[in-house]
Amino acid sequence: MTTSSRWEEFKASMQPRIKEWKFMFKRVQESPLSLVGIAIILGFVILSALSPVLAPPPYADPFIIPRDEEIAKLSPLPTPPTIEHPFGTTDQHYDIYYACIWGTITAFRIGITTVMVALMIGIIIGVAAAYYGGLADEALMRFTDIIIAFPGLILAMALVIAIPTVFTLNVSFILVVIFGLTTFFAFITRARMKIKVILLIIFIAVLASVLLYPLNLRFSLNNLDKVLITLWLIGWPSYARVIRGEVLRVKNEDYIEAAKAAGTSDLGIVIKHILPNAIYPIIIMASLDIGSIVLTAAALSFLGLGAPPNYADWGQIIQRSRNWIGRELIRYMHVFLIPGIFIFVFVLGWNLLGDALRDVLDPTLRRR
Amino acid sequence: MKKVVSLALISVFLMLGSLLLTPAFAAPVIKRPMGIYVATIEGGVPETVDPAWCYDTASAELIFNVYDTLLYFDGESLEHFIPQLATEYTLQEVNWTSPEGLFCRYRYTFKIRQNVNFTSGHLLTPKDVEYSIERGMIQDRCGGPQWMFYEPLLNSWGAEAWNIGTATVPGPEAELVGKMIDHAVESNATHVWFNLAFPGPYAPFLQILSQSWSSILSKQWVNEYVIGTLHRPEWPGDWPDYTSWLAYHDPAVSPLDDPSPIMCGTGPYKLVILDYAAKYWTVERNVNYWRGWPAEWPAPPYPSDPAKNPTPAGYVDTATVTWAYEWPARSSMFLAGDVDFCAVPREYIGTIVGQPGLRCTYPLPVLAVGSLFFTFDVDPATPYGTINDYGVFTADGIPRDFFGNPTWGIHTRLAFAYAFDYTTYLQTAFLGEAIAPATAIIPGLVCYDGSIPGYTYNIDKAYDEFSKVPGLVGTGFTVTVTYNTGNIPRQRACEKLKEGIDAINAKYHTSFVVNIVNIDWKPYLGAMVRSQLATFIIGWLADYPDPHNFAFPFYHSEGTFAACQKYSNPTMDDLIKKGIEESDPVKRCQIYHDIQVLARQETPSIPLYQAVGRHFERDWVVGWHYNTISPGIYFYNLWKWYYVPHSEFPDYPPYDYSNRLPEDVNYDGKVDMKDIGYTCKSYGATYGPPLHERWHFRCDINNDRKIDMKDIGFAAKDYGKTSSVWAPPP
Amino acid sequence: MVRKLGLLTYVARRLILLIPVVLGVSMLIFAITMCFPPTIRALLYIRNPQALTPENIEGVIKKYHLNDPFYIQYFTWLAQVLQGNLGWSQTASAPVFSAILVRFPATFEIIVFAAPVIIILGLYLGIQSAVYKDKILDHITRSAAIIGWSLPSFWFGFILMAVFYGYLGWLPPGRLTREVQHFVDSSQLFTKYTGLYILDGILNGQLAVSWDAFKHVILPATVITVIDIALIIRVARSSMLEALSKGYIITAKAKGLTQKEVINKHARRNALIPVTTISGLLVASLMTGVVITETVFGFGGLGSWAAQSAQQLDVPSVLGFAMFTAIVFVIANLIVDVLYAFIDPRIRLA
Repeated sequence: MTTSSRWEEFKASMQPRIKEWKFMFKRVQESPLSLVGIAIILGFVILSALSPVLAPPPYADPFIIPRDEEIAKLSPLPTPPTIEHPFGTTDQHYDIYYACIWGTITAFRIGITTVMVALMIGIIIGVAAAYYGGLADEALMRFTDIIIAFPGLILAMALVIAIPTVFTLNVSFILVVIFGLTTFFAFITRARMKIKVILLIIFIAVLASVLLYPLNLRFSLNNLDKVLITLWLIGWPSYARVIRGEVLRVKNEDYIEAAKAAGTSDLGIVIKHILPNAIYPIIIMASLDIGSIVLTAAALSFLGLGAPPNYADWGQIIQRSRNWIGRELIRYMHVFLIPGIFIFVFVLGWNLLGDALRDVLDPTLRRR
Repeated sequence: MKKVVSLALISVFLMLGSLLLTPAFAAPVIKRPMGIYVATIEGGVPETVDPAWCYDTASAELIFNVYDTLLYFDGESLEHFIPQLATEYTLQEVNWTSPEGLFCRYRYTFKIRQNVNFTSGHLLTPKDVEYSIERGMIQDRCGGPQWMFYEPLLNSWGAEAWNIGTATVPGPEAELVGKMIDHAVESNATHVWFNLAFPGPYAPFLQILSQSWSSILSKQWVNEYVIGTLHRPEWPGDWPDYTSWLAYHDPAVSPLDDPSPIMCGTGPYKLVILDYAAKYWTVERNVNYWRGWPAEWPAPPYPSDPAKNPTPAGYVDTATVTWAYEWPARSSMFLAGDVDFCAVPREYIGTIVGQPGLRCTYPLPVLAVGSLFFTFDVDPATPYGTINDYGVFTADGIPRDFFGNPTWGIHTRLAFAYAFDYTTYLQTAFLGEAIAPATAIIPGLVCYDGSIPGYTYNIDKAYDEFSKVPGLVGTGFTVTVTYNTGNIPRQRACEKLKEGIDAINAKYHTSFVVNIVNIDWKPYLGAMVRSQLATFIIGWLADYPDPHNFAFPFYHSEGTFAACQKYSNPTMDDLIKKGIEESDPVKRCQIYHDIQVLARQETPSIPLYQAVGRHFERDWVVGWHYNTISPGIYFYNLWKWYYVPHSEFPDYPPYDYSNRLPEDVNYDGKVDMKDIGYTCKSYGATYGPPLHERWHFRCDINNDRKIDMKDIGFAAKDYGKTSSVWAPPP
Repeated sequence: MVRKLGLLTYVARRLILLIPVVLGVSMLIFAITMCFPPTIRALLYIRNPQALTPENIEGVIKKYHLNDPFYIQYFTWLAQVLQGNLGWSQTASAPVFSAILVRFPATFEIIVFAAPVIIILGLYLGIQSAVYKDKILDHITRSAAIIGWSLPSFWFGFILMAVFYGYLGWLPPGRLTREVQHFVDSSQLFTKYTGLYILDGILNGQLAVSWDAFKHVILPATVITVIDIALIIRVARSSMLEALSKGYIITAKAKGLTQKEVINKHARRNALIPVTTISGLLVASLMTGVVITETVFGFGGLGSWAAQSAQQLDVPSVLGFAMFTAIVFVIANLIVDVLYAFIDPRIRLA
């Protein structure tokens, strides 16, 4: 029976990998720090999933923090925690509990999207640089070096003020460029005929649409969107570097030679063989990176460059509440401590996980 | 290894434990007896040190401590004056015609004080007074205070009222203006006189002469130092011809500011440093101040009771104003006693009022208003927002004439007026301690008309007004509203405006975007003058208590604000001119009623708040009094109660008291019955807080903040010993 | 064929390789400036406030070809930058270049206090925690490091200020106490040789000034240290672990050397080397930390100025500061690479 043979083949090829993962899982379970990290992250995930239940949004946009105007009129001072406002309120009577719960989603959004985009860009650039070597490698790596030369927060500050508030994006044009490049690469890397044909058809279709009916999208960016775009633009260099290193390491192994001899396309080699072996450092890095991305975003909000004043974002609440720290440390402590604790624990969770993963996935330390 | 670790852990825990056991911070000691430290809002950087340029309170605070004027307000009064550099004055009706044909009915003559020296050593002469005023009138920078001289002296609003041209190409009337300026102020060996071309004895003239723009500079110092040594482009003061003055007219920046600020006055203090990087300025005492210093420190005999209108028994040696600290640091420093005066945003007074050791003065009537201004023609070169060409609407910006278009500009302005929630704003930003007047002619001024309705908050009407602008609602706009850094009420106003516009967006699905930007005071004023701020919030403090001082800057096309806004209405200009010239009070108020009605209709600016004032200081500061017009703190009147521990003397200032016995309470050189007598008089007093009324610091010999038997015991122990006689500090 | 290069040749090579990176940095900054309209870009060419009038801005636009294709503009801009003209800073009321120079000593003071502590203490703790792997010390050190790295610096800074100044009154914000500042500014006895108050105090013989400046610098330096020490601990620990697992260590132990001798003689030096690789990260982290802590403590250095400029849309200042930090980073990397080559001869080989 040959119909199930491909599936059997696949399972067989995955066997050693599955064994590896089982071993890693066991190691992770044994390390208390990583368990704590995972628990924290899971806790936040549950919190953000349940946020509509825990803190029902009163306005159409759930990220606008509710506040009681009447009470704010009477006294703009922060109020201590009560049943109605479990974490109390800041000045102008913004509910801290609401801001912290929905701020979790904001934090996840910032962290995860940035890491995804950074991974995408980093993988493409790293693999291209390592695989093709030579001049392309030099050029791409110098470009990466230039961006790494700027400390993240400072480059983010410069970009946030440079990004225009409203801009129109010619989406069709971008699609043409993307598909054109993809088709080009498909042809260069000797991909399979089916893929080449499909890509070519899509490219021609998109080209036609651009000429006949261009699609323009207008984006209105508030400051938080600008921060997000900035982080996307500057987050990828370290990933590119690491991927390139890993690909270089793996490139000259025997099994790659074998696959090439068997006629696998370049793209196929990359996807099937190189990436799975290069992925572990990336996972570690991504996990640690989410923490520092959230911290950078909070720092930008703290400096006034991030979320608008009534937006549910941890950094924004701290920026608002910092005027209440002083000698009255105890009285208004909640306003400042609670959002800070949220940020701290969130980042701590990801850092613990990343650190523990590093220990677990480090090949030299594994089998002792 | 384990031992080291556990030792480290134990010591860490001990340290943490001791931190917790430390008693809560006791009432602070006065840290410096002779220095005043003022913490103002962050971003409150002085714009200039040039009196002719200065038209803001931050700069004026520095200038009026360093320079003197001819007269000054007597205490809290706005009508009575004390002589400063002028010892007497007369007002005469002279009916004199100048050589240019300017008919001057009235003349003020001032006799100038003798034997007054500038800090550069030069002697004050009436020539200096003439020079200072003429220099100011020549400079006449855009948006500056010189209109207050042009109005009485030349019956105009500024040099540009005539066709004067430029420095390279002088206009036909340049010579005429030069001659008029020259003959407006004249002097001889003892007197200075001002010829008023204004048809009337311009009532506010003395008030104008008592404020920072009338400060007297030394002509010799300018010529020798500014022009001679530093080679800066400053007017030398003579009139070899009547067109060369154009080279010094309306400069982009004052020669006394650029590249570094320099000051030289006759005033009680002299500038030590104005540090933009470290964000503070410091002045120190001018020991040769002509008025002398009230008392020497420490003062024998005893100072009088500070509660009952004290004669100053001390002075302030150095004063520093800093804008480096934001509210958390500032409030901590204020409560810790490191700072003597502090700018407290109204929202946070809950944390300050009632704290021990502070004096909070309230209510203080203030003739000031904060308004939201619209620029009728925005400079497209502005870094604050995208500005398109006339009438071009885009989603990411506004057209240049967004607020100023002759046909539909009124609708955008009214729409913004409807989009602001005044009552909530006054409650939350000012805790209800403010009102929103209808126009810039505010309550407290003569001819204030209470019948004019104020602005209301109505989202629907705001949307209606926006709809009346052709092409706006479909496209949307993005406007940048600015306020000066550190001014929390103005920040809240910007946020309120944004909330209102967001409410319109939520209800009507429009895409109106408001961006809020804050700018430090000095670049803020610069951007305002260059019409680069599309809409901005700024305040106005009265120069003199007359409605003209509000009507002119706000509504006259050449007034400080209206000129920067590029707002011009000939009817309004006419009314304002009539208003200042009219002497019959009833007719005058009718004119001002018309002005207010027209202002309410046109809405070039929206008054947001007129707040009752509050003042905060440490209770050891003595001598501060309130004057409605005063721009800042006048350090000459101040001194401090202080508590100086005899046992450990601070290093700064380096006074040497090694031979003094602390028991010699009255500083007569020996410890005897008189000292014990004085100690008995203060027996039982404590430092507090609050300070006991009989407290005297010198009787507390053992520094335990109580005057009791132990202190008398010390005096008894050293009875009969001699001590070195106190000498005044160098 | 393996050639042995001298140290000098290596340094020369690295210096030459520096140039393209620096040029690349300038190109990136230039690309960011191209996001702004010509009237704002004109501010990058102005050196004194007299030129801020609209007519003058028009003149500047013409003179520096601000409407021409970007490659022409790049070279005119680069020429100006090489002459030291980075534009006019509204927030500092001074040319950007002199604003940076004036504020640099304050930032340098914080860094000079934080960096040695971070490196030395971090190395020590990292190495010790590797030697005593999985014991209490290891767990405490690693936890403390991770906790420090996870702290939001602004939050931590405010808490420290509230405790140590608000509650206890020991360590005030700012750079100097008011009367010390007055003394430093106006007294004849004091000359500002370097602008670093601690050093100047010692040079002038006024130790009280140094002590006062030190009291003010402790908290900002502590915040940065606590947060950045994790970087060093992590790398030191892992490289020490790797060194300890190497073959020659086992051989040395087999030969009978004690634990201590093993560590001191062999492992430690080899563990130090990879630390130099993350020095770049450390420099970046220091500059970032400085921006936040200076704002929190009102310190008046480059960081608070950059934060203020970004808030107030003062474009030349922000870009000038960004370029400055990038150049510092690149130079720091160069120095570290040279040190690296000095320590480990293998690197010098081609």
